[in-house]
Amino acid sequence: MPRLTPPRAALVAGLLALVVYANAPRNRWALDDVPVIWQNPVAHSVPAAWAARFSPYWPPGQGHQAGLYRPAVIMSFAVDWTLFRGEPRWFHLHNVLLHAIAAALVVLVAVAWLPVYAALGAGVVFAVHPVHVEAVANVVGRAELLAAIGLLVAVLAFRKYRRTDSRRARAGWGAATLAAVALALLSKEHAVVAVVLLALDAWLAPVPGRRPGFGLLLLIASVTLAWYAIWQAIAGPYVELATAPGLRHLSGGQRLATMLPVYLEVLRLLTWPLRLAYDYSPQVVVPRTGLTAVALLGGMAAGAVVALGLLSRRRAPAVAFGILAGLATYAPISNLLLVSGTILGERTLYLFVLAPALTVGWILARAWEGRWRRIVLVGLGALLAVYGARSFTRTPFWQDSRNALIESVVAHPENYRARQELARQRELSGDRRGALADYLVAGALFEHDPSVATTSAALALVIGQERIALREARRAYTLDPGRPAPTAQLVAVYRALGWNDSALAVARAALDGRPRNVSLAATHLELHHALASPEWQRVLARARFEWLSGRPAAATRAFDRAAAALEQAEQLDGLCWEVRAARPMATTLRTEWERVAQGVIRRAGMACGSG
Amino acid sequence: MPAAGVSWREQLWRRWPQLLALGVFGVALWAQPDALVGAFFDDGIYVTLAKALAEGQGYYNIHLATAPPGVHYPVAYPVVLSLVWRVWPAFPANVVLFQLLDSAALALAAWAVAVHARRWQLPRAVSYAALPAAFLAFPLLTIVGVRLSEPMFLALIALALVAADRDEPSDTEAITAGVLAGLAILTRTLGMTVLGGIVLALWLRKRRRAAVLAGAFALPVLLPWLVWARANAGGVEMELAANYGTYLSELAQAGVGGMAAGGGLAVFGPVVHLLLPAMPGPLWYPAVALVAGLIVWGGIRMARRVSVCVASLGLYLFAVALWPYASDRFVWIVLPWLLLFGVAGALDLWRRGRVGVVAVALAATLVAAGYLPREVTSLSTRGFALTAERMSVPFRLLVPSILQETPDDAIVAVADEALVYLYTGRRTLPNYLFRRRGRNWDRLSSAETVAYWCGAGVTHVAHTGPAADAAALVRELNAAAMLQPQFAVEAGPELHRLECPD
Repeated sequence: MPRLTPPRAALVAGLLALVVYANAPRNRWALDDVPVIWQNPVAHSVPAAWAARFSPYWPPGQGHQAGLYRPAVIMSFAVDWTLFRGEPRWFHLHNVLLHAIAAALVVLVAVAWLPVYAALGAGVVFAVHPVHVEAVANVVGRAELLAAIGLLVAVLAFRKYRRTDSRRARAGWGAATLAAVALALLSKEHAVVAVVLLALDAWLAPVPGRRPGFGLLLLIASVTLAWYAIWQAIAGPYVELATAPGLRHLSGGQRLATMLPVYLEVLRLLTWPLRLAYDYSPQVVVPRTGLTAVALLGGMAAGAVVALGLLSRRRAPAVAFGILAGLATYAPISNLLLVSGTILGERTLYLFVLAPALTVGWILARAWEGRWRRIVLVGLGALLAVYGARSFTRTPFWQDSRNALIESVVAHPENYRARQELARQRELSGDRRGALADYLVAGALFEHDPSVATTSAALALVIGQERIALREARRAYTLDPGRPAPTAQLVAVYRALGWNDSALAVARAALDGRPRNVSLAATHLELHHALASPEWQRVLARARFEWLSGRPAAATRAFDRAAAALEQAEQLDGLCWEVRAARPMATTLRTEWERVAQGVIRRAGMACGSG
Repeated sequence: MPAAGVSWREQLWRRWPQLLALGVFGVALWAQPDALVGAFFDDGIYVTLAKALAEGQGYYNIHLATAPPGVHYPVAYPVVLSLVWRVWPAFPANVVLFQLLDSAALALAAWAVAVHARRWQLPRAVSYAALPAAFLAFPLLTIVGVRLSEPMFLALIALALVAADRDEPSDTEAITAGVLAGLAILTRTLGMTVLGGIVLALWLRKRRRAAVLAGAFALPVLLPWLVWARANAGGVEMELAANYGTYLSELAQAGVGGMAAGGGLAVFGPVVHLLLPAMPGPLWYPAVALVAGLIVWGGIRMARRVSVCVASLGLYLFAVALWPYASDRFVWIVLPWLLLFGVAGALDLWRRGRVGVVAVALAATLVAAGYLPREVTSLSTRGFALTAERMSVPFRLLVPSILQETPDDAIVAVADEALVYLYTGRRTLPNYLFRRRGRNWDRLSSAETVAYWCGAGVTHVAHTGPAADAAALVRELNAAAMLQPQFAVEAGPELHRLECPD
């Protein structure tokens, strides 16, 4: 029997990953695959992907606002598309290969602390762990795979860098570390913790008598800062909009009360991941406004995990690395300090699986020489068989959007997002009444997401359900007062009902709250045209719209026309509001508008007040 | 993670240059203002020259209607910007890469200054306190927030000093210093003082081989630029020479009198006003003398240890005083060394007894009362970014108006002509033409200006407000019915169509 060397062990772990995901290439496009790959021309050619290398990850108009920047992932899709003419099975095969590489890398990382057979155990756990199915079997999960590979390669290259004497080889390994970190950063945002991972490795796997590579760590920190500046310029402005709907309405304390029980769920997913879900939106995770016993338990469990990671650093550095590295990669999307776009996603736990994987490896190493060896081996074998079987059976869940959504709704009828997605699919297929019914159910399941109510209202209006439209539009506006979409929807509903004064009041109130919002100015302008308002009002609304659209010359002309029209106007309703609302523009453009308006106010004997 | 047997204090001292560089890099990125490129004039020129190079149009001022050759602004910084432009050729989205470049240059400079500071043999605490204070100084943060060549210039001269300021510089170190000084001259013409300082100090210290090598290897770096500038100097029209001609032509316009007038040290006025608190006249000059004295004394005390640095900085400040441009940013960019010299002088005086202690305490009190509140206010309110942001305001109205109101082939006479070109694509010319006379300048007459504009095909004239240099001329042309208003904001920017006389 050939001796088990680290490369051979890595190969075995990789092959096992290929076996477990053998059915993945039968999948097609599912959920986010559709807008990000199938419908995205940028992902269809290498030159297009290269030209869009400084563009956000999501295509414009389809989640562009998600605040993501992943050019390496888009480029890999473009390469696949070019080579395999958009055939999804090759994309899936590519994902499986990447997962196999990641599992092999875990073995190579683990041999720093574990005997080869135990490192193989860790790699096998990583290869078959069911929580990985979402990242592997859904093509867009490639972001996780590429980021993980980049980070794991960086750890290995950094070790070589620290162990090498030759100046030239050090430069080479240093460059390799930087390149791997760059790949990870350009694949997924959580790679921002690369420097933490490398520092952890230097701490837990020191090379006796050698320097810890502090200079290279500082260089990687600089590269991370540079990446952050670029990401901020490209995707940063959208981050606020990408907040998970389940957390959007919560205060900091309430967010913690909601997230602490989620950490228990994370622990369950890492240890016993047989029950899986593609989405953990409300009410799969219930938003909390106060501390509960489960939250306390979640807090204690999270604390215990951190303590275990720190305390095991001497006796079980592999376990410490697994836990602390996993925590580091999970921290950016844990919603603890910053709010992310998701409450919990199984794909985001991809590298957190290092914790159970390396723990199993450590147990294996301890048990190998002991008298419980056989029992432990049988137990671990059974666990791996269960994991592998669950991964295999879960993979077809991702065969296409329809299957994923229907299964999700069946498995988690309390998930409003799945219901909302299902409604969208029905709407696209022309079943408007069925779609409205599903939207209303989604809205009833979780009443804090204004997008559901806005969509319901729009659809209800289209199919003539005006009462439902009014109720939903009002609900959306109450949830998110002054935001452009709910405002436009409520205005549209009021217009349809003939309640023009209410429509105007809503449009004005929204502009009062957000006087610089161009969408609200457009709604206000359209309303004045629809209502055939006096000319001075229409032209003044045009001035505001032009000004906010960055066309000051057109705005100035419109102001002058508004002032001229006002001199002749007989209908002066709303003059006080218009004068007040136009003041910021008038201050900037300094036209005759305000002087004329004040003159008309005086002549008409109106009392507008100072507001 | 200290290595075995090395205390954390020693580790910190070893890694201090890298740590400082990382911190400076982060702060410099944070300090970037929300401003338009070109609001400081020079920054726009650098970026348009970079665009010209990146797009294969040569080293020409492509934003100007006459596209004269670039002979005023040295080539190194635009070349580096052009490489970045090629990576991401989409303006203004790619400005973030320029910001990264300048921040990295300032970080590199911080690293080099910290390495060089070890040679000064000052207490470690001085390096830990003075260098972050110098690189956090709000004028420096203002400079790094604008696309100016100063951060790259600072990095190059700091690296040159690291290479040259040694007891026995090897041939390689002398050559490196010479090449870096040559590159510094290609970044800012004032870099010649650093080359001069290197050669002079090495020569005086009897390191004549090193001095010759440094000078000899700087020349080939400079030669292509000198040949280009010489060959193309005539390509810049007289009307544009003040801003776009060679420095030689400008120095010729300024004349000996203009340069000698710098002996009044007026250029240091704004710097001193920022450093010291407001005080009555009789107290002002002794206070200035005290603070300047500390710096000079520090230079004298350090003349043996860092002779190249002392010689270079001395020549640099001398040249800045004579240079016919009253720009205090030339002084701010060498602040780290000025601070180190001041601290070195203060430490030496402190050890010399009671008079020295009193002098140092007084100087420290003056700087603490004058500069410190300004620094704290600037950092807490991002005041360092305000200048660029305020200067951008009129252009935020003017730029979209030019886009909206003028055809693609319009030629616009405007201030900050590079900014307008970058954001609108319209060719431009300066709306204020002048020629230098001594340290001042004379505006060309209205007739001369209009004749030049019309000859060059100017179709529109714009200015940023009543306080703009060109506002009087615009009023004059308006009165003569030569302008058709296109866009005007009361007490703000204006855009007019120009009717040239037949």
